[in-house]
Amino acid sequence: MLAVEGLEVEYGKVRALWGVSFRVDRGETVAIIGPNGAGKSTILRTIAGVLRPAGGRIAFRDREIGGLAAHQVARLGVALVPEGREVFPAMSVVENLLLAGRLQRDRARVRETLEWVYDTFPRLAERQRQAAATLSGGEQQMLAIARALMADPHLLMLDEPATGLSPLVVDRIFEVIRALGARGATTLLVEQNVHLALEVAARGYVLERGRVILAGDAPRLLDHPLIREAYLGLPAAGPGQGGGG
Amino acid sequence: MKNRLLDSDRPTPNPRGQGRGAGARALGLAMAGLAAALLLGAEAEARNVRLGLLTSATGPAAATGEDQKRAVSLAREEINAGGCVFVKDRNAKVQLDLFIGDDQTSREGAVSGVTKLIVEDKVDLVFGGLGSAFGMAALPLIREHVVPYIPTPSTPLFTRTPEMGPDPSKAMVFHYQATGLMYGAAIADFLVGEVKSVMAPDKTLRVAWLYQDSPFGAEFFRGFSDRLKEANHPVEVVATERFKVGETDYRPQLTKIKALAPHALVPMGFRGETVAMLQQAVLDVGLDPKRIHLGPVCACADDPLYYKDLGKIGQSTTIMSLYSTYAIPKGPAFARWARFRDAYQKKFGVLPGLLGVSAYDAVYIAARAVELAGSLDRAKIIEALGKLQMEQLVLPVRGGKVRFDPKHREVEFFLFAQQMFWDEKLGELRPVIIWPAELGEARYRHPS
Amino acid sequence: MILDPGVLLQVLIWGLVIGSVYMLLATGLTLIFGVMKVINFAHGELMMTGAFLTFLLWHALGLHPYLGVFVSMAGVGLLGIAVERLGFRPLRGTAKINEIFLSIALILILQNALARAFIPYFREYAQIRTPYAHRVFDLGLLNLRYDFAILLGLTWAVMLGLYLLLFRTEFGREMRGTSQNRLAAALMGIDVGRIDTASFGIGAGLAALAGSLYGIINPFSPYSGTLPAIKAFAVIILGGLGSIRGAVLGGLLYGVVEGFATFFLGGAWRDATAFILLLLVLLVRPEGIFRERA
Repeated sequence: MLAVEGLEVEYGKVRALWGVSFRVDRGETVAIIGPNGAGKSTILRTIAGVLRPAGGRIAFRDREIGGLAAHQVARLGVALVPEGREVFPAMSVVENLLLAGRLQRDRARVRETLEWVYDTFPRLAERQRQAAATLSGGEQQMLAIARALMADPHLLMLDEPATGLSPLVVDRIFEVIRALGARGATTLLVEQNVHLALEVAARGYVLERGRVILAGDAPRLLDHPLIREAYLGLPAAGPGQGGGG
Repeated sequence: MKNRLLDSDRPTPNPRGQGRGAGARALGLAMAGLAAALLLGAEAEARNVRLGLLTSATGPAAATGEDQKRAVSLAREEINAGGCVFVKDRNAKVQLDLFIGDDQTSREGAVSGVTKLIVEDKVDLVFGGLGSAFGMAALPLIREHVVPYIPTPSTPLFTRTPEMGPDPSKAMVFHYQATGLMYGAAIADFLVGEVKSVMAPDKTLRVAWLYQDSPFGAEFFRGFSDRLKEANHPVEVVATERFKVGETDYRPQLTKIKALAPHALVPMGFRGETVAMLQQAVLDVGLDPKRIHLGPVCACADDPLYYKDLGKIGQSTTIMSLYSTYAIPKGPAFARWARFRDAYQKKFGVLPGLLGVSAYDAVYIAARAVELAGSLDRAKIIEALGKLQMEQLVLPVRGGKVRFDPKHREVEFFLFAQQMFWDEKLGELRPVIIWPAELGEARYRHPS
Repeated sequence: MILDPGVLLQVLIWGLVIGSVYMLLATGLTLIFGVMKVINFAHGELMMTGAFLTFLLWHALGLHPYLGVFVSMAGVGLLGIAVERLGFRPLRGTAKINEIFLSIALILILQNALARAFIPYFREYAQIRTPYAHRVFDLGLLNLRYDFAILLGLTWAVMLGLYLLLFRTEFGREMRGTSQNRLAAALMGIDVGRIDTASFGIGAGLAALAGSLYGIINPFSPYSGTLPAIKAFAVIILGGLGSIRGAVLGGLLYGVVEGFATFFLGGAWRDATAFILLLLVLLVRPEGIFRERA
């Protein structure tokens, strides 16, 4: 569904991405992991149209979307849950959701989707009429995800959904991500928490300093010595490994 | 180090050769000297009287400046056509030349305008102007060059500032304009003389003022209150409301005045302000012209636009004037006024205003002063202005004679009050002079 | 005698009338600021453009002023749209100071264009006269000229319309969303560029309405918009930047306080009051009365 080739992005004169390539197939959950400042958020933001690429191609459903404005990308069926949630603070929960629901082609389905959202996130149903600014961090994150889903997107992108939330909330959120995957949703997940990310994803890419240094199936990555040492704090050789890789 | 150019040891190569150059140069100098002598001599013989009009040729007040320019060009034509100015010194009749200095409706402009007149145009006398602040800004230069000055803006400060020099008789400023103090005093006399007998025959007359919060407005009110004390008039000032220059909303102040129920309201401001004040008073706040006299308003409002803009609600309001757009006082002394107005209207297609008339008169005064002085010498002209006495020109003066009083070098103008009446045919208001009796053709009429 | 209830009611009404004008100006300003994060310094000039447009339609074509008001709103609204697309849109993303310069340039351009077009014919001031100029409602305690009643009615009708637009239509929700979180709005498929244009157009239209109504009850010139616009700035700071509720309440409050200050303290205090009030609020509650953006 999504094929990124040789993506190059600059912030002014500083190059953030150096020829990044990866793909996400229909129905897959793919994770991009890496340290802070590696460029993970930059990738999502560029796909979403918030940033313009300096080079490379982004093909979404066989269509070049690199350089399109954010609202155009959203209308094509790409939903980003940005870092920092970014809700509409003075609007109620339901208003936030309905605003996102506009993107659905079939208006009748909006009601259905809303019901589903309330089922999946009962806390949001409780706080329907409350202003989004009065929700807790975890509830806002749920709102942000729910909002993205209201658009019934082809591709869901999540930028560090676990950041700054309590373990209970994080669990709940990843439960939802997994459930979505089980239903056949296509998801691109960017996350610092390697364990969480690779448990829920089918494949992963490791990004360091704007370059993909490692790619592969999620279970294999989990066992990879580099990952074990650098990100999981485990000795390089795991139980299923010998001295080498 | 030797400087080759300045080093006179070695002669510098000179293609023309030095010997021939010296002779040519000497001849050139001689011719220049002769020409200069001829020119200067010619100047001394055929020089015209040079008058400098300092007015607002550009800037927001340019329309009034235009009025002054037109009026003085008319005066100049009349004088030059009717025998010019006899200058005894030269034993010749000399023409009048007019120069314009533009104050650009600003103080800085006034300084540069008067500089041009005095230094470049070398005028014998400066006159005119419509903004007190700008005319005052020109004063330091006038004093420095000791040039006779007949200003026409209204502030009394021209001739009443303490620093006019040690010898008052040598002071060079002669003010030809009615001041706010004069207007205020006349307003007091008029209200007591004409309006009181109708509105409050056996009680104190309650008067409210709504005036411009500026030196201009303050002068008017001071003239009024000083006169009340001086003449012991039975008047009580119940309100002194003010507004900033250029104000457009007078309703809160008018509402307060209405609540105090005075017999008369004096609304004092520029034309646009006056029109707004009167309309808001009658239409918005509901002041009833039968119960409260509205006026006299400032003479500065009296111009054709006032009559047009004010409309029917101006019926029965009064205005204290020195010059009227439409009316002329009765009497032979005012024949000249009628002639002037007709000539101006015929030549320019519009009616003149107070400041144009003032400048027109000032030209004639200047011409007479030159004749009296017998010379174009500035000091002699100043002296002549001090002693001058001439027949009333256009603006009405007490006793029918124009003279500058020895103390303040002001002219004692004869102010008059007009009342407005709606002319159905013309669809506009028209004035009738109602006070004082010598100048008026009717008495004050209270709306019934 | 001056503390008579009829008199005080009258002064209150004058305050509400001028307060309605301030309210319209402030609402437009705060709408533009909320969505575009741009301070439109030329708001007073848009106000006067509206006034002169209504005046021209009435004077030259005899169009009833209360119809002309709507034509003027549309015209200046279009002008606002053009200004946003040709002026502010290309500057988006560059230094903030560029927008400030553009605003200031607009002040000069509009003022001088109006002066050039109108002063030769009307000297310093113009005023729009409606057929109701002399008609008055007798309300017992006081009399109210038709025009004042219409001004109040029209203002509130337009504000109601704006409320319905912002809170009951999808477009309004998009607008509110954009002003609350521009990034989120874009991610939800909202074309924020179009929202910018619309908000500037609406803001300009409100300014034109304010100007036209002002021009019906007061004489005005190309320069008359400066002071009301400055007061509108004070209102939105007092009410909270981006808060329409703040603009509405603040505008009316300003008008009323100004009226009473002039009544009790004198004409010299009229304009000073606006700024003393602002100073007091800034000292006590700098973020404004209504902190959140609505």
